[in-house]
Amino acid sequence: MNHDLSGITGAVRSEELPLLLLAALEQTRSPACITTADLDRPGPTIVYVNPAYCRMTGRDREIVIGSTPRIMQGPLSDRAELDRLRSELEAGRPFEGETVNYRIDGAPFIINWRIDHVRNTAGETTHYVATQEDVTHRRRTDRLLAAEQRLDDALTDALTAPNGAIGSLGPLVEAIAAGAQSIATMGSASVLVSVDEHAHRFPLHRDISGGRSVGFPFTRPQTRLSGMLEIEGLSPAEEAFLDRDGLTRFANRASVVLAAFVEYERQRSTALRLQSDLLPTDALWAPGFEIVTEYLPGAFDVPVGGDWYDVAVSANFVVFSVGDVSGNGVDAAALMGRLRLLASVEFARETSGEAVLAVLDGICAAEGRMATMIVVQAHRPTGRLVVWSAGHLPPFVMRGSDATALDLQPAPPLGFMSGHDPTATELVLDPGHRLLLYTDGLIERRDESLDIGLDRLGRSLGVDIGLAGMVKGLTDGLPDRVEDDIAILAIRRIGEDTESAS
Amino acid sequence: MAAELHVSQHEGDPALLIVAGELDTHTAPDLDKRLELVEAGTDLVLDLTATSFVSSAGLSCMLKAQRRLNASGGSMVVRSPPPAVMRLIELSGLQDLLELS
Repeated sequence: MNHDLSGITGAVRSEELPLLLLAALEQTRSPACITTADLDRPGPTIVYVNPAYCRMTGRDREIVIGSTPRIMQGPLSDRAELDRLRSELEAGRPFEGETVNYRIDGAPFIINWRIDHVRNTAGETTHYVATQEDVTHRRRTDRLLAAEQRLDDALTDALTAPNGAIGSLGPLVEAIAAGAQSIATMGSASVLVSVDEHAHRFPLHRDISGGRSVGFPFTRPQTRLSGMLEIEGLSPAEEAFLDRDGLTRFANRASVVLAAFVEYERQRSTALRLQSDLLPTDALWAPGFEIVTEYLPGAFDVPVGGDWYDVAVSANFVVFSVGDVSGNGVDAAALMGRLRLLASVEFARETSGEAVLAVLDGICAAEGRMATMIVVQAHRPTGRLVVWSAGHLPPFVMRGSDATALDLQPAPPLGFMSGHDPTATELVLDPGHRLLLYTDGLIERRDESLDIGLDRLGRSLGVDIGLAGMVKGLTDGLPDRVEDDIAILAIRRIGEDTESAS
Repeated sequence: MAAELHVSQHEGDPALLIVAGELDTHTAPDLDKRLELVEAGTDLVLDLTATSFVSSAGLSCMLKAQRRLNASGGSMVVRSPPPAVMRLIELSGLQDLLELS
């Protein structure tokens, strides 16, 4: 092979070029090493290393020159990588790889190195030149970031899992073990987490025969959570090279993620209990009416909304109501409880629906929240209905096989009604006829207009299969995952109300 | 959680906020934060041309912003809601309350 230097001879005198190249090689920060081309034992002999190489390995030039590169290797050096190096070079190809090398003080580091053939003018390989880089810090940072990213993904998955899967720390604990394993690269990672009195472990069964182990404890006292991440089955050399900083940081991150999930679970279960306390617990009953109700918590996020239904009976009226406080979680459920309670007191005193909505509007406005509500006041002796809506979707009235959404003029939602009083709509519900009140989760779909949902609901209501069958049909027909919570109140007038006051 | 919302802001008089994507329980807090940054007394146009879905949480966030701007001598106009969003506004009794264009 001829070395074609024609491109540079103009700028540097040819007799000065070797000195310039040597000076550059001596002063660059990139470690470089030149060896003979003997691949058989005792292996290539180092003929040149630059000062950067000496700094990286901690070895003086006097020690290195004349010895073999194998002096850099040790127990954690990757045998397969070194075998590949040999076969690539023997085949005349260049090599690039990574392994663990050792400084003179025995400290291991991850090296990325490239070896190229140095050929003479006859094309024969006389030497190899290796350029090298200590990538320990970069590799460890990359592994830590990737493990943290996967842990965040696992948290997102846990938080968005359908209801059945929520409540278990299992997938998160497993993700922490997998992340720790990818950071450690050696030994076997295991995780033990305890929350309150419950312990979660991954893997469940361990078979570590001997070896050393290094533990990384973590704790979140406020969440009553503690745990230990352990790397087991390590040789002394592996133990010495373990990325303790990375694992310490990852253990801390794991505790943050676990605490977030546990706090979320606590809020969710508190909210669920609150919601069930705030909805009417007994089967609702009203003279002259058959009533079927249903409440479905949403499938995502904190599955507690502010949806409610209620029935209030007074001397002259039965008042049916359904409402929906916008948002979810404990705050929405608490406001829902206040609104429902206050409304039931007012309805028992036979306050008009319009006036009750005005009171609730004031509460929502003061709280800076929005709610929708539908109020149906049924006159017990006659079945005459008066309907008011504050931003709520229209109820359906079913007369035989005819299902019609009531044509209402809703006022704005509660919290924003001021100056826009709800208009009363009147109709009569004859014996046998049905009425359906519901919240928007029943029909709202992201990919279609509400009118399509209203049409679909109307068509499904035409056939009278009984109230319980109708409600079951509605909930069975829902998609697998409904984000919003849903309240349903189905009513049938069953005849004359002989107990009414008038 | 798949819902995405993009809000872009354009200075001027009136100021313009373009809302694109789905405005639901998850994304409404993002818009809330952007709207809170709109200075009191601003005349604001909220462009919904590219808003494919609005939930009640989205309505709530628009109503709050409108109330705050109106109270401080400003205003908020909701521009070009798509038909499905317009229908939600009507069914929620908001066609007279929200200033629409």
